[in-house]
Amino acid sequence: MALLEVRGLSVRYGTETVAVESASFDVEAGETLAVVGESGSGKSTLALAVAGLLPRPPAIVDAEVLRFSGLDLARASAAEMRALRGKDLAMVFQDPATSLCPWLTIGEQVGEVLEVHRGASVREARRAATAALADVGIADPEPRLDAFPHELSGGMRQRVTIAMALLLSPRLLLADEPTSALDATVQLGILELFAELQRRHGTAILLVTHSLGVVAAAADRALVLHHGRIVESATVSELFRAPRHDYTKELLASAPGR
Amino acid sequence: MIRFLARRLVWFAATLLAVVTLSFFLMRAVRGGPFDAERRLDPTIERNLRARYHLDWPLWKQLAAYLGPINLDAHGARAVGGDGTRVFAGVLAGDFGPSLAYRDQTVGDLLRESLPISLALGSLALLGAVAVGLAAGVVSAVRRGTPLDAVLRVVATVFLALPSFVVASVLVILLAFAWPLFPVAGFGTWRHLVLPALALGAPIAANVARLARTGMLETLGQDFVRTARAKGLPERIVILRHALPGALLPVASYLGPAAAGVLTGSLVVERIFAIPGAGSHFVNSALNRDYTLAMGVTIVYCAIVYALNTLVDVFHRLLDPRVAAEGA
Amino acid sequence: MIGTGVWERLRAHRASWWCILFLGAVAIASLAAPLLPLPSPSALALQDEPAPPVPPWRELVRHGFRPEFADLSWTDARLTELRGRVFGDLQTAPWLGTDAKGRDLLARVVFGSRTSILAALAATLASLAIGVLFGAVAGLAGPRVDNLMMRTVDALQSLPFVFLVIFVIGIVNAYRAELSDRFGIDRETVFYLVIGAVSWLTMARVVRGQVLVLRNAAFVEAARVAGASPARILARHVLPNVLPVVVVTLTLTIPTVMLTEAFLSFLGLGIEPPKMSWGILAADGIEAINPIRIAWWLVAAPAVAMGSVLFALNVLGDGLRDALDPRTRRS
Repeated sequence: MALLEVRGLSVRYGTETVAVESASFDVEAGETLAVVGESGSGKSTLALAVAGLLPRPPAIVDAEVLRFSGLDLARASAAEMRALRGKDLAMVFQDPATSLCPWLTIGEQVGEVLEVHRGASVREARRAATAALADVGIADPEPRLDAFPHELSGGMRQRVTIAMALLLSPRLLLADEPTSALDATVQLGILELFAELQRRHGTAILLVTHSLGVVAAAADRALVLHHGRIVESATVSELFRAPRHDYTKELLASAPGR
Repeated sequence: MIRFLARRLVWFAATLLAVVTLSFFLMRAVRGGPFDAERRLDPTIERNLRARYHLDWPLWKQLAAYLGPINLDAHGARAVGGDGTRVFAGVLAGDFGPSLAYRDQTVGDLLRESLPISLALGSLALLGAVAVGLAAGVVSAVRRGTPLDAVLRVVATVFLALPSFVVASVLVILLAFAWPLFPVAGFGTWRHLVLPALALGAPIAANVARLARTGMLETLGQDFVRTARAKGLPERIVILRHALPGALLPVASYLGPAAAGVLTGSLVVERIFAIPGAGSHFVNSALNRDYTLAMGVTIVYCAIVYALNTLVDVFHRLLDPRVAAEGA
Repeated sequence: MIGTGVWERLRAHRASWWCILFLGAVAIASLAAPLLPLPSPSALALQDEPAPPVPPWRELVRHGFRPEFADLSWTDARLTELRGRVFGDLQTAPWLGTDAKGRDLLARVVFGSRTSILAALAATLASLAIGVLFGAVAGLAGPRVDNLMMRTVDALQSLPFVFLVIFVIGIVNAYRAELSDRFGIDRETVFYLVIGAVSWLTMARVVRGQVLVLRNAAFVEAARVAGASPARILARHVLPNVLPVVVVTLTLTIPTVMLTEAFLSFLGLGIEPPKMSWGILAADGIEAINPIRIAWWLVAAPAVAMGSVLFALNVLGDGLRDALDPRTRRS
């Protein structure tokens, strides 16, 4: 049984706009599945729908099957979803500048995951946060705990969000364009970090991206999304070697400097 | 922070000096004096009175004498204190001089009696208004679109539309006459402050509610709130810990004008409820041309508003660490 | 920019249309006040006690209209004569009751609305004439001039507004006789002038902010490169885009000014009797309240009048703001 089973997932806004149409895919434990598409293809919406983070209304989310680790996400209560998020199912977002709370210190934000899900004390949470920051490659993490997000660089902020997400060793990490807002030199570091953490924790990653470079560097399998529909699903090597759908071929052809 | 406060203090002194000088000249330059309202005085007596209060000196000399602290009076005129026994030392020495209308009291005395009452009433009104407004605004935002939200918004708009004296009179009719729960007027116990504080605070609470609601809605739409939910935090923590400070910022910015509003509102509310506060002194002194009292009240009120504005700025910097970083 | 979608959004906001209708009706009633079949608002009947309201379904009209021609302007006097000829001595029954001097409250409320409207007009004129110009000049001028102008506005704004007004009115009162004789300006005109003189500050600040933003906007740059003169840029490009912000600020200024006028009249520093103002009505009402005869209608009438007009203004203001700034629209 796959870690995440999705069949017939659709997301609609009102009666006219269809963001995601009848998506069906699996994510196996420990693998990295990339979701590729251009902007507006619905890839972020897909990830948010799985995590249950789409505000409904106005979004209308429908699925025949939406199972994570045996739990039916479509019929789960709000409390059950809350217990899941942060612990077994974590998410990392695109812009670290806006996805961290500006008036809480790094230590407070990272630590509260532990306080809420494991009932840890503030001191225990702080210790765990320090270790987590070190894990993601932040040198000298102690003083960073009392810093505010705006005092850190973009790359460091993203590492913080990753540390926050992986603190409790989730089984699935949803990463929504985690490197798009970062400088090119920093991007590779983040992707390597993902690989390293995946090796260590065995986390499966659903990686949403518009960049084929990221797909090539980080993913095992890939889904190609076009106007909300999955048009191709293959391993990364197959995808680059022998793309089947016309749109995939277009994408590959238009990638600069391939 | 120290540098910020120091700069504020300098500006404060400068502003106050300007206010004092401006009002001083405005009041003196205009024809008519504090003694006109009385029945025709014997010219000699009037001359003596004017001399006693130095109203015959050139204006610049009067201003300098008013500011003090050096006593310019060659004869060391003792013009302060009910029996004229103390030497007037000037504002900079903390002495506001004698009241020109209430002849046997100093401005300092009058303010000392009345200011604490006004401050008590004003603080009660302000704190109550902020608490109620904040709660209403946050609930309204979190329960957006529900009937509760609609009701709260209508109530807020209604109270924005009603001046405080209207609210005061309605309160008097309802809660003092129809159902005698509170005393109608006067001052003595805490119960005397309830209706006036409600009347003063109502428009403030309405404004705070609106600001809090807008601020909260905006903050709730931000990415970091989504992150907080993605971490599986209970909704209570998401709202109170992550989102609420964002709603507090616009409310904090409003506190300065809110305090000024409470001060002006107190002019009317103190009169309706017959509360012996500083507000009634101000209106009367403006009408009676009681220069020293008017100046005294103006200076004190300006100082309060300025101090509050500074406090608000300090609070702002503490609340949002980004402000302190950019605006140093 | 303005125009794109503004009318659609405004049209869709039904509450705003109700408010416009209501305010329009109030304005018309106010203008045509002497023509309406109301009792005279100043006809005294000192021996009467305040009479409670008589609902219109119980008694619609009465006889006994007594016109009072003292203190009426020429137009009002002519209108009153016309009314006498059309309606005879019919007048509405006291639907809102009468006050301690026997005067009909509905008539007083209607006539009192004129003061509020005049105050709003004074503030609007001052904001448009002084505020917009001041702000535009400050926004377009060099940094030093701008700084000086804005510091002045800051200083004026840091004084608690009402204190300033009371001060100025107190001072002007001393010269009341001269002003009246030499310039024909009575205390009432002075009052409106003072209101106007202090209500342009916010507009100046807001317009200056908007002009600063526009100044660096691409299309202004393009016009400048194309060789348009500063005056032309101001007229064709800057001012039309300042309009939304001006309208929004006016919707905030007018309710404030009305409240201030009522406030000052209440304190006895604004409009004086026998002229009417909702503030004066409220003051009379509060004076007349006593535990024995709770003449609640004396307070309710001006309260409802003020409340409804300001409520309508606030809702209309919200609607305009939503229509003019699509970013603040909530779905």
